[in-house]
Order: sequence, then C-alpha cells, then structure tokens
Amino acid sequence: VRTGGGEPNVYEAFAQFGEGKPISYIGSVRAGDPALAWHAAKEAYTRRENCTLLWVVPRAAMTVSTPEDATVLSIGTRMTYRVPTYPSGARRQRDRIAEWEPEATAVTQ
Amino acid sequence: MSAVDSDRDSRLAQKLERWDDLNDEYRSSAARIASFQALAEFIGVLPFSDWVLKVPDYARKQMLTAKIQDEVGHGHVMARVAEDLGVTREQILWDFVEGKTKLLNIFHYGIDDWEELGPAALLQNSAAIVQFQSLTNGTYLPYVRALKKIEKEEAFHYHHAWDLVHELQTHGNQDQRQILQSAFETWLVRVLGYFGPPDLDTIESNRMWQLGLKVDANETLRQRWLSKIIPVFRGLGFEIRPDLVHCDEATGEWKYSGIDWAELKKLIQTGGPRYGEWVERVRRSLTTNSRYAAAAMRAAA
Repeated sequence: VRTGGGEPNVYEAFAQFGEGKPISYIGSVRAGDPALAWHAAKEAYTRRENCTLLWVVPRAAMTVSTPEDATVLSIGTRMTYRVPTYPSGARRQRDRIAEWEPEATAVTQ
Repeated sequence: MSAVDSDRDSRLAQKLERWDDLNDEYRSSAARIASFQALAEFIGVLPFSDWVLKVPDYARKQMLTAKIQDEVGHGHVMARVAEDLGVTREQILWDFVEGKTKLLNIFHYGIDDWEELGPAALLQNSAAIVQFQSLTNGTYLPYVRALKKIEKEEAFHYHHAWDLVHELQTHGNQDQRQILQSAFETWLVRVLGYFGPPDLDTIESNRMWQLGLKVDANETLRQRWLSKIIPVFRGLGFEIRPDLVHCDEATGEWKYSGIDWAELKKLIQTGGPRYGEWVERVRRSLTTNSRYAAAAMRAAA
C-alpha cells in the first residue's frame, strides 16, 4: 500500500452517470487547484452524457494498492469459506457422510 | 496474414497499467504513441475551428463547436496518458513548434469550402474509428481507456458529418454537389495515405507491433476502412471512380491509386499548405498561456 505520489497537480476524477449507478473512475486531469481540476474534469469527461455526480481528488492524497498487494486482495488465494459456493460444497460433503452412516452402523452390528 | 492472426492473442495477452513494471523501451514507446495522438487531436481541431465564425447555419455552428470541444478534450485526455509517462503537454506542443515531431499527412491541410468540410470530416472520422477500434486491443490500458472514451465521441462526429453531407447532397445545388464530389476524391486519397505505407511483409518486425502498442498492420486497417466507408459514400450518391478505388471481386481486396508515398513522406518532412500557420498558432498560444499558467500555479501553490 502506498500513499501519495510525485505529481502535485494531478487529480483523479470519478463520476456517476445516472442516479443509483455506481461512481466510477473516469480518468485524470492536471490543474492548479481543486476547483479548476473539477472544472477540467467536467469539460473533458462529462459533456456528452448525463452526469449526476463528479468528484476529483489529488492523486497525492490517495492511498492505493501496489502490485505487492495483489495476493492479499485476490479472493482465490485465501478464505475459501467466503466464496458463495462454499456452503453447497460443504452440504454435499455432509450428504455423503449421511449416506455412508447406515452401512457403517450395519458393520458394527 | 495467418501468422499475424495466430500471433495476435499471445502478443496482446499481457496488459499493462501505469503502475506496473514498465521497461524503458515500453514506457517511451507508449509515451510516444500517446503524445503523437494528443498532438493530432490538438492540431486536428484547427481546420475546423477556422470555420466556427463562417458556418452558414446556426445548428451546424453549434454542432461544429461541440465537435471542437470534444477534440480538444481528447487532446487533454491523451496528454494525461503521456504526462503519466513523463511527457508533459507543454513538451508535446513545444516539440511540434520546434519541428521535433511531425504530423500525419491529413493534418497539413485546411478546409477551403463549406462543402468540403462534410466529406473531409466523414472520411477522417471513419478512419479514426477504424484505427481506434483496432488500438483498443492494445496492451497499455491507460491508453486503451482513453481511446474508448474518445471513440464514443467520434461516433457522434461521424453522424454529424454524414448528416451534413446528406443535407448538401440532397438539398444543395449542382455547384455544391460538384464540390462535394471533388472534396471526396481529394480527401479519399489523403486518408488512404494517413494509414501509412503497405506493411504486411514487414509488420512482424515492427517494434510497436511486437510490444502490442500497434495492433494491426497499416494495410489491414486501410482495407477494413475502405470496406466500411466506400459503401457509405456510394449510398450518399457519390460517384466512386474505379480507377481511384475498387474492390477486386475475386479476392475481396480493395485496389486503390493516387498515393505517391515519396511525395507523402516529403510533405510530412517539409510541411503541407497550412503547416506553417498551425505552428505559429500553437507557438502564440503557448507563449500567451504560459504567463497565465505560471501565475495560476503560483497562486495555487
């Protein structure tokens, strides 16, 4: 994880196109101050679609993941019990055990 | 062709982001392609902004203004891609003013008649769309994202240009239709040249192609463009002179003429009819703006 960067005049822009839609990253602008950055983003990114929200943030103020964080961010490498299909897998195993038990009882008799 | 196609997937499979480990060659090549396109967007505006005060129709003036705003926006978006790779927009423009970077052939010309603007814009937009659709399969993702944003707006411009040509072709007089036809023929040859020299034999040794920053060969794109745009002009009532361009029925390949590659290279090196004027305009704008930019940056610091 890294905070800041060497680009003091770079702002990242985020926008929502349509109420209820997700707010997405749309690109960056270079500007002298935050208000100008907001206007630059408006001109470059929102003129042709109905934009409902527009946010800008200095890149230097952001805390972002770096390639080294890939492992901890990737779901496939950890915590299989969080995957939606985990319960059905566990259930199948339970069923298999349940089917097996009567025979096991027969053997002990 | 088949070697090119089978290679396509592996060559383009690994996508890269700004923060990935980019080697020097890749970084400078990506910076070059983004700078080159930013410059083309900025300069590409000038023949059209020439017309803002002269458009003979209020709605067309609004549409033209919107196109110009879009193109300048594209320049800014592309410049951001270049800036993140270490090339500022000021440097992109100064390099142009100082003659260190060259323009593609189509950006060396102006537009002399209102009737010329539609065919010129329609041919340019359709070529850009074919070019960008190919490049969005490239390996540098910030560039790909910028292209996707640009592509969407190019589609608007395409429809505007088509409608302008349609209007003049349908309601214009004989003189106007004649200018349309001759503008089509002039710009057709220019845009054919814009795709670059035939390169199917050499593409695999092209470094930009190997890096996945160039996706298709020039000739592949030119053929793709012709198969899209020629029927459009035919549909608009233009005469397509077979000696200029025709499709070989047997092979499906387009044959074209009229490009003198040596002449085209010379034009790019020494400058076309409006080149000097564009250079002066950019120089003036940079000189004037640098005062205010410096003051604004100081105030913000």
